[in-house]
Amino acid sequence: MRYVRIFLLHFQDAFENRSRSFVWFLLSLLNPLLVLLFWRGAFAGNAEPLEGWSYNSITTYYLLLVVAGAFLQVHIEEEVARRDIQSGFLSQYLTRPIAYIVMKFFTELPWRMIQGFFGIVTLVVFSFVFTNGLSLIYDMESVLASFFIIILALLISFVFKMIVGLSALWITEYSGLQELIGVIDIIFAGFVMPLALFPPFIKTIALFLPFAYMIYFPVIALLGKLSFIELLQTIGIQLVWLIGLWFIYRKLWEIGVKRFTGLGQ
Amino acid sequence: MQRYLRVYRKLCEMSLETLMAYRANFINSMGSSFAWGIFSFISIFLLTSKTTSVYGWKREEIILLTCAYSIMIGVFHTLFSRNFERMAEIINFAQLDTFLVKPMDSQFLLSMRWVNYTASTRVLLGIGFLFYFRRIIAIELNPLAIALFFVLLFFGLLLLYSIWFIVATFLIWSPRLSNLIELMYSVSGMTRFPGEMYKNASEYLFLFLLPITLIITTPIKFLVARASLFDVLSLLFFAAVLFVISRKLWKFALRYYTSASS
Repeated sequence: MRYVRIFLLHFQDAFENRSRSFVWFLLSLLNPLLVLLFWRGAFAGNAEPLEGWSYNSITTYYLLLVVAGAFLQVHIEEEVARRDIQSGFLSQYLTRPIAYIVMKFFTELPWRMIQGFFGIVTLVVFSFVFTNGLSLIYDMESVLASFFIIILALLISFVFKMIVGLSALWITEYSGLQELIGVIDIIFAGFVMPLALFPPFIKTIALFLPFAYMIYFPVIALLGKLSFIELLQTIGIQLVWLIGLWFIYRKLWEIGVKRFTGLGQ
Repeated sequence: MQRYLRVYRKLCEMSLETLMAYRANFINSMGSSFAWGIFSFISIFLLTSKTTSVYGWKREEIILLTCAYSIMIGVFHTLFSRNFERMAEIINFAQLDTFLVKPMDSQFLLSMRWVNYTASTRVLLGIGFLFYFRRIIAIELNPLAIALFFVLLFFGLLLLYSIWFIVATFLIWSPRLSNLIELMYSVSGMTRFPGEMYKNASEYLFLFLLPITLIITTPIKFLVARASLFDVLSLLFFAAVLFVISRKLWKFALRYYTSASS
C-alpha cells in the first residue's frame, strides 16, 4: 500500500509539471519524425520494399519509436548523479526504510506514463493520417509476449540508467560519460534506422549491447517482425540482461555508498 | 562598439582560464563534443547507405550538408549554446538582475558570457570530413566561392541564433519550461536535412519551417551551384528580420520579468 502512496505522490508531482513533460515528449517525437520524412524521400522513387521493409512498415516503425522513446527511455540518471549524489540529497534516502532504487523507480514511472500517454495519442492521430493503416500485430499470443517485452525493456532501461547515475560516486564530471552513452544509445537502440538495415558488423555489435533490448525489440515485436519463438528468445535475452544489470547495480551500490559523503542534509 | 569588443575579449579569456583550471571537465567536454560530432556523420552514412538520392539530393551532397552542419553547429555551440542553457537557469532562479543592472546590453551579456571552446571539436570534424570528401563530392572551389559560402554561413548562424534567442525569451513568461532549450538542440538538428524534405511533407509545414530550412541548405546549394537568388535573399531577409524581432521581443519581455530579491 505504501508503494501505491509513493507512486501517487510522485504522479501528482509529475502531473503538475505536465507542460515540461510535454516538451520532453516533443524531443522524443521530433527526431523519429525527421528520419521518417527522410525515408519518405528514399522510398519516393522506389515502391519496392527495402530488405523486407516497406514504406508502411518503416512508417509504423518510426511512429512506434516515438511511443517507445517516450515511455521506455528512462532519464533518471541525471537526478541520481547531480541532485542525489553531487548535491548530497542521497542522505535522505539512506535513512528511509525503502530501497533507494525502488524510490527512484516510483519517481521516474509517472513521467514515463505521462509521456507515454502523449506518445499513444500521437500514434492514434497519425493512424488516421496514414490511410494505409499501421502494420501492427493482432494475435493474442504475440500481443501478450510483446507486453512482457515492453515491461522488461522498461526495467532494463531503468536499471541501466541507475548504473550510469551511480557513476557519479566515482567521477566528478560525469556529463561526458552521459553524453557518450546517449550517442551510443541513439545508434544502437535503432533510433537512426531499424537494426535489420544496419551493415552486418554493426548489427552484430548492436545485438550484444542492451540498448536494442530497451527500444528496438519492443518496437519490432509490436510490428510483427518477430515470430513467436523469436519473441520468447527476446524475453529470455532481456531477462539475462536484467539479471546481469541488477547484479552490477547491487555491487556498485554496495561499494559506492561507502564513498558517499553528504554534508548538512 | 570598442567597449563591447574589449569586454568580449575579456570574457573569452575568462572562459579559457576556467577551461584550463578544470582539466577533467575539459576532457569530458571534448569527448562529448567529439561523440556528437561523429554521431551526425555516422547517422547520415547509415541513412544514405540504403539510398543514393533523396529529394533530388545525391548522397555526396547530403554528406556535404552534414559537413557544413558540423561546422556551423560547432561554431554555434562554441559561442552561444552554453549561454542559452545558463539563461534558462538564470531566469528560472531570478538571477537576471545581475545582468540587467550592468551598463551593457543584457542580450549581449546573456548570450555571449561563456565560450565553450571544446565545442570547436565539431568544427574541426566538419572541416576534416569536408577535405576528405572534397574529391568524392567533386565541387570546384575558388577563393570567391569559399568567401561567399562563409558569408552565407554567417547569416545562417545569425538566423539560428535569432531563433534560439526568441525561444529562450519565452522563458521570461514560463520559467519552468527550461527544457525548451533542450528541445532547441533537436530543432537545430533539422537544419542538417535538405529543405525539400519539409516542402514535400506539407506546404504549410514548409512555410512554418522555412527559416530553419534556409540555415545550412542555402550555403550548400550555393556551393554546388544550385542556389537561386530567392534562396539567398530569403536567408538574408530572415536573418535580418528575426534578429530584429529577437531584440524587440527581449526588450518587451523584460517588462514582465519579476525578480526574487536577488
